[in-house]
Amino acid sequence: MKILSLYELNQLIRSVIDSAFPRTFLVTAEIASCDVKNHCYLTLVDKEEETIRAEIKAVIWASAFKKMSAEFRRAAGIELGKGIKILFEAEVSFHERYGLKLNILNIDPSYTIGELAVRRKEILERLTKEGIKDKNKELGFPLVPQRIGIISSATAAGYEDLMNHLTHNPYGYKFSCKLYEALMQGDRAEQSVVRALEQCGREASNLDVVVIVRGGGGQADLHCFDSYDIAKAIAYLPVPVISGIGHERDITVVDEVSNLRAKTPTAVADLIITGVRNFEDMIDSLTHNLVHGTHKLASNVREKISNLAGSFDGSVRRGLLDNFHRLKFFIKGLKYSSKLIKSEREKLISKESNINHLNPINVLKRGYSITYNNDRAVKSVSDVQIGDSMRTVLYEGELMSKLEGKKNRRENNE
Amino acid sequence: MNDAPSYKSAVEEIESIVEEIENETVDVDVLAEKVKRAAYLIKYCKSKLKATDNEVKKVLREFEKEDNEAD
Repeated sequence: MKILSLYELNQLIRSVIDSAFPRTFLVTAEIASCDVKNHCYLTLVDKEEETIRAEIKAVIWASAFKKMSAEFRRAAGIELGKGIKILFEAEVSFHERYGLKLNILNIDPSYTIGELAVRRKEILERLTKEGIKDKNKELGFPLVPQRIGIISSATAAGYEDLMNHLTHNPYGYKFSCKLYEALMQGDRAEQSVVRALEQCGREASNLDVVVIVRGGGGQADLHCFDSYDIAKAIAYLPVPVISGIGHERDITVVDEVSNLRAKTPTAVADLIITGVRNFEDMIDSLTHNLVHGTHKLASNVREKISNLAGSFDGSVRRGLLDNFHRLKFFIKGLKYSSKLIKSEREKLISKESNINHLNPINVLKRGYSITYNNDRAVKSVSDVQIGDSMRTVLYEGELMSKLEGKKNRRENNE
Repeated sequence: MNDAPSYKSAVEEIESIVEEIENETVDVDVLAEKVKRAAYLIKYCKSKLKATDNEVKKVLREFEKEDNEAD
């Protein structure tokens, strides 16, 4: 048997592989690791549940990588990196020194978009099923978001933007900010953010709101924010979370479970400042109502008092007037009754004098006399006969006589 | 009087005073006192928005001084 050098053997393998795989293939796989050193070296895996059932090295040559990764980022909104599932076109290649590799020629981002959406949907469904998806939203936005916990990396431009905006707000509000440092991209970002959230939870009594802001511009990896673990940590945080990791187009799971979300750290700051501004407006309106209400109440009380005083005055005056009229009436009545008495008395006096006149004694006094015949007063000559015995009553004493003659006065007069 | 009420409790108290005054259910005898209390809380909230904790405490001390002098 001929002895081959390793190079000769590998040349043989290469020629077999080249002829066995003469064309390109469309393959789906998950990126298990991704290392860019001029060229992009990947480890691709195929998992069933969590068990890896296939694994292979792959490479994207530097000449193609720049364009390919930029296109992918633009279309899928995320970076090529660990945990991402991709659909790619590749050729199987074997190199005498570097061994078997897939040479990736193209990546179809729409597959990844779909995969990410499916994954996001699954996480959201799980959170919904567990009843914790809207837990942070249910906390409501704080009345005054003044004590702010910030989850970010200390060197991130986004963190600086947020701080600048908060510090130089036009209303002069003072915010107390505390940074809970976390990695915002890469493999360890998920775990790091969860830890920061847990720390916020321990200091919840000193925080009105927790803000999650991403590092730099829009190119960082959003992938880690489609995370069940982060979402769960947000759900169980007793402080409302504002997510500032937003992307132009995609809404991550973290955005979905947060109390509020904003596209940029500056927008997060605006949300917070607006919140405080709303509170101050409320205080101002209460102040206005207090002043207005107090004035109104005071003037109502004054009016009531003055009405009371007025009606008191009126009733007293009316009472007095009534009494005066009544008195006047009494006086009038009194005057009338005294007149009445006077006239009555006069009447009485005149009657008395009449009565006196009528008393026969008074008539007798004046020299008249009454002659009785058989105890009947003699008023006419026809009442007596000659020879009758008569009794004549004088003022003083009586005369006894016998009639001797009579003369008719009427005849006499004639 | 609570030394450092939360915004929430301060606002609730102000709201209840304003409501009493607007509904005229406040006793005129205590009106001045209530208005003074509400004004104190308003000033407290406002200064708390725009000052640090220490500054707020200073403002509070000034308030207490005024109150004591007024008594």
